[in-house]
Amino acid sequence: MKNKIFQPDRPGSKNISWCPGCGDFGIRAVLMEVMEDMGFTPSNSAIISGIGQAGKMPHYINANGFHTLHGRAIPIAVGVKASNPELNVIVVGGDGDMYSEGMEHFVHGIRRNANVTVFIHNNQVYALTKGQASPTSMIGMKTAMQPSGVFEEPINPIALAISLDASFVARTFIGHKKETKEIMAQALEHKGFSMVDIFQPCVTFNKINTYEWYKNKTSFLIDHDPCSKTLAFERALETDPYNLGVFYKKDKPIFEEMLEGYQNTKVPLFKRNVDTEKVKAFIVDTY
Amino acid sequence: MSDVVFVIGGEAGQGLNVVETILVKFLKASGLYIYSSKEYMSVVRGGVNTVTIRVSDHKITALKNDIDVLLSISKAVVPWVSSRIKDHTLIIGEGLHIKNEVVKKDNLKEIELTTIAKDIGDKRVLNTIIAGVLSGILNTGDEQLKEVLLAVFGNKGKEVIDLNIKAFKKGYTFGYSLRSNNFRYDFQKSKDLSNSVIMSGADAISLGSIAAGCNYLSFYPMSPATEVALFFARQANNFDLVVEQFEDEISVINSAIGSWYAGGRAMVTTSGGGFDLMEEAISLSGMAEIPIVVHLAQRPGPSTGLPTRTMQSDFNLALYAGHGEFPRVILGPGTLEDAYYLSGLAFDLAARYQIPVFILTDQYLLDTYYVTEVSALKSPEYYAGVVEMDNNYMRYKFTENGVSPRGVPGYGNGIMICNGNEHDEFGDTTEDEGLSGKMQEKRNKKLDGLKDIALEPKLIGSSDCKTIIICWGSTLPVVQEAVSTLNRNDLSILFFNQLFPVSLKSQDYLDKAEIIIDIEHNYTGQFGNLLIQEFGIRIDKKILKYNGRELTVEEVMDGINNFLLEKQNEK
Repeated sequence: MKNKIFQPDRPGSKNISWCPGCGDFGIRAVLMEVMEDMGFTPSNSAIISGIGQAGKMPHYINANGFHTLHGRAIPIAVGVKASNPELNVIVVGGDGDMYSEGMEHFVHGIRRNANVTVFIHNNQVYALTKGQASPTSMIGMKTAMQPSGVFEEPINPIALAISLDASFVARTFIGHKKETKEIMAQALEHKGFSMVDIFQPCVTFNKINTYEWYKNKTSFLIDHDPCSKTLAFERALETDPYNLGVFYKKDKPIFEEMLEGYQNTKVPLFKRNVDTEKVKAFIVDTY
Repeated sequence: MSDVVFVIGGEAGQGLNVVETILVKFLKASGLYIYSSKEYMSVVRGGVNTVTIRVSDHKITALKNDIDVLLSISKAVVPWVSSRIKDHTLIIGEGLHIKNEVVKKDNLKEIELTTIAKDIGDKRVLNTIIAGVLSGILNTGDEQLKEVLLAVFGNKGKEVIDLNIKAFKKGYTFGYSLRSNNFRYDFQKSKDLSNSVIMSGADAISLGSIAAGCNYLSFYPMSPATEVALFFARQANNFDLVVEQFEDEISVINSAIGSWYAGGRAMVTTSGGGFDLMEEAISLSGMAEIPIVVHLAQRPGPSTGLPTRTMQSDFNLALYAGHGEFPRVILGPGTLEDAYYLSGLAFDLAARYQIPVFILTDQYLLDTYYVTEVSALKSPEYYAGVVEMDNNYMRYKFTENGVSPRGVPGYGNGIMICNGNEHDEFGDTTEDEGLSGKMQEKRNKKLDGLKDIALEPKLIGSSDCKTIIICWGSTLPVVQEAVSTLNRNDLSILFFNQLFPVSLKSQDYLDKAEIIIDIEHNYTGQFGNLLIQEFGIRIDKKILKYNGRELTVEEVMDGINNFLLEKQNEK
């Protein structure tokens, strides 16, 4: 039976504090389905989240979770993966989390290329702090904090990731469940740092980028070759409509596989024995 | 003659560290006790760097000010160390490097080091000549020479070894020729240094951690914390360690917290400014009850300060780091043996109490070498501190002492939720007023258990505790030698290597004191101020040094003597 093993029954997971109609519900449902389809278990998965409405995800799923700090989910997830490569490590955060407070980690996460999958709930606004502009808010968007309208250039996360030669770059819109599920599955299957930017409307604070707006302003890539960096970059720059789908894929060396700590053994750190005598012998031999 | 103080000075990039390495290894192999420490500028080339090497026939562990023999390979050295040059100081080097118009001294011995090196055929052997000169002064013989040079240059081939042997012998002959009735150092060679090793504070911190199961080190370059990271990088394959240089200190500590979450035993090594960036994550460790070990290597601040120098001014930083209230432990090793053990204890306490634990060192301790017995390097019995999770597992289960069994994702069938938000026993976010208060109590009461097992301060000297000299961390050997040299039977040193929480037993000692002297490497007497706050004591005298240089035995002696004289005169 679908959608079952990741369904939580902890007392704190009953009252989901997302607004009715929020795109986060859809992402959660798809995520639980995909994880189950892929044969993940609650025990061998870890969902590491930042701060924001999206960051609450670990509380609404039956799997290992860590609701961390604003912006810091990626380095924490890298630490998790590097300490137990057997875990399926999923990172969840919003556009403020990943592209503002945590931008340096996003950039260097791509560079480092641990085998983790990052889902960015991109609603183009700060929701939990009640409606300020985010790094992906469109020029002209008026908020309580930006009463004359946003005038800074929004981040283009897709173009940025491709320019950094990220291992897997995709975008989707949660209004298209079936395609979103396929894209998320591909991201989880891909070995390396995989990012999926997920358009998801904030029904409370973003009156511009609504379900209707995303439906009209996006379209899936057709006949696109995700192995071509140049083509991927061209598609990433287009905004009318915004393209959805897998823009770019590249196999690259995996961070945790390159680490010295895994050259002689593949065993996760918590299963390793401590050899105090080896240290003593080393001291006698070396000094 | 109980010991000799050599100082070798030159510019950055001239290879002083090679002289230090050869000498330290060779003298120890020759059966002598050695102490070595350095002070250096934050430059890549140029400036002045000096190495102080003390040699004796018994264990020595402290920095002395007065120089017996100065070997200079740069014009800037003599004025730089002028306050350490005394009437008896012998100054060796090329004429242009030792003759100084301001610092005029008679005791000059010229040696054309550069010419000799060129004649031998490689100007890089200059450092080995210097090692030879100082060994010649000590009349060590050269029995151990080949073995030591093989250890230092072994990977460079026979030709290099032969050149260096030649260079050493040239220097040795010159050094030996300087010996006279008035100038000779003859130390009894210890036969049994084979069970002893010579290592640095950075080595001790690294090895003590690895011996206690540290298997993950994340890092961003910053003096003086870098030495520990370099050790981990060199030994990563040997000890199967995960080592990574991250993009900044924020990701360094967050990745380390991720490692502990996933069952790793992680440490970060950093210094003041780098640690400032880590504070938010320290607070996360406190809330999420995920252990973390922070090696905080102090240097003078504020801001960039003096990047390569030493100070004890970040105790308050460690004590108050991170917003909110949560328990922590701060350890401040005083000796290499202490550094080895306390690094292990840091992992033990972090795993046991699921809190941030600080190993508070400084540039001086990390860059200091001396001889220590292998048997004196101890580790606490290994404590993993993780449980297999079943389906009812709760990460933040209420317990009597506040410590909940810590799971690891993938260990058992259960799952665990960790959270930086206030949470229920499962780890899910809550704002319930009852739970919110109970969780604060759960976390903070771990401090009670920590107080019970806190390391007691060590009493050295007189047991009557009438005059107590307080010190902590790296100043211990200096204070100890100063007090022992003063040869008074009315002084008690109270040395703290656990700085927080402070053992409650401290009260017993402090209550007896009529006079309390506090010796620290900072401007405000930070640790003494904590003792005032915790135990209601009065500090009669603060001996403080804050110019980035380590206290010396002579300075501490003067400080104590002058104060006690003043006191006497008051009466």
